[in-house]
Amino acid sequence: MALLVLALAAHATGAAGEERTPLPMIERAAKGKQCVGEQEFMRRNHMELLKHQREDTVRQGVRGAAFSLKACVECHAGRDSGSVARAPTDFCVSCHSYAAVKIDCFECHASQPPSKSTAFHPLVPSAPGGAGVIRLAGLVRQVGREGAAR
Amino acid sequence: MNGRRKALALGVAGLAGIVIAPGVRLIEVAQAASQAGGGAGANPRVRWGMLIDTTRCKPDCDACVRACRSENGLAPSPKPTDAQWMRKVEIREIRTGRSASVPVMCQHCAMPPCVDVCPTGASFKRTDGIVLVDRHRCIGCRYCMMACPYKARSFVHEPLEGQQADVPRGKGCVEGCTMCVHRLDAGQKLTACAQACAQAGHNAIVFGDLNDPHSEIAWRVRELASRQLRQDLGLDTSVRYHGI
Repeated sequence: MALLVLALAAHATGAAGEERTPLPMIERAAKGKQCVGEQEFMRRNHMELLKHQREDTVRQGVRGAAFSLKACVECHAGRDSGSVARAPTDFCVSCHSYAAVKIDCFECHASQPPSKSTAFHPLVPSAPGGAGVIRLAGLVRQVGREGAAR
Repeated sequence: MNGRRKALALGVAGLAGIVIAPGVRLIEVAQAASQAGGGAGANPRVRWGMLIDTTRCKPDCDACVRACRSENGLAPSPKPTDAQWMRKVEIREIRTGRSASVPVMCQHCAMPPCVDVCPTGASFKRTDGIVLVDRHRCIGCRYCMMACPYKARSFVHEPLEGQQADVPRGKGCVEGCTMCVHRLDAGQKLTACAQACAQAGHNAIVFGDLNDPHSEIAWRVRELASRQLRQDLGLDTSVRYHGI
């Protein structure tokens, strides 16, 4: 019995001894099969890609390019929390707390993909992907016609 | 001496050649890129603007303000310290007593004083005439708020939650009307306020491209007498008012 306990204890300390800090839990993306870049490349360079694109988007109005933060959030939001940065195991937070790098993206940016109530204007039914935009365009046309009828 | 001067002049000429040639190529590349982009990016040929017909705007209606709040994730009933991008303002001519209710928001000046005073380059004008704050550069100094004659900008004092995915906003930055830039970039043709006004049946806000002679706003501006707020300042605003 004592031997068994000893053996178990040794096993436990051995497992913990390999890594003193727990490795980040990287949840697989809920949506999509392939990231916009290779995994290793994205892990090293995502910050540069995001920084580059934010300039294009904010200052030149280029939207819908590959490396947008919104698109990251769409795929990588946690299954339980629905966010990339709420729970300690969420996609962004788990790595960043391991690397001790503070992220302030989500002080302004939504850390959750747009839900049905907030995706677009509340008048507009939203759909996954770009369908909401198309439908919204239709609605605008419809509204225009109603306005003209009045 | 003369020989040296000649050598220097030659050197300068050579240098100029080197500098100009890649410069020209860069411009060509940039132009080609902007043409290829098409819908991607602000179009420098466009100037987005609004015409607000105050004779149609109803004093008891605030559909535009409510639509702006819900579109951009602002507080539905703001506290005095909360950000407001758009307000209904009552104006009254003292001598005649005639009053009008007008929505006032960022006027998207062609020569914006907020851009002039911004120490970090956060306040900027897009090529399509929309004046925005780049929150990545904003340090929250609020010079632009003081420079703006329309009081169109607000400061976010407290941490925010539940922002819209298309409208990031947060504590410590100045913000204001974006002319629903996320909608325009997605190819839509109306701002939330203009859409809400049409839905309320007033059609007091006409939104469109001032540079396109065939757009509704262009012909309405041609037909209707309209003016800019504080026209005397010569800021050349993109928002015009009829009936004040």
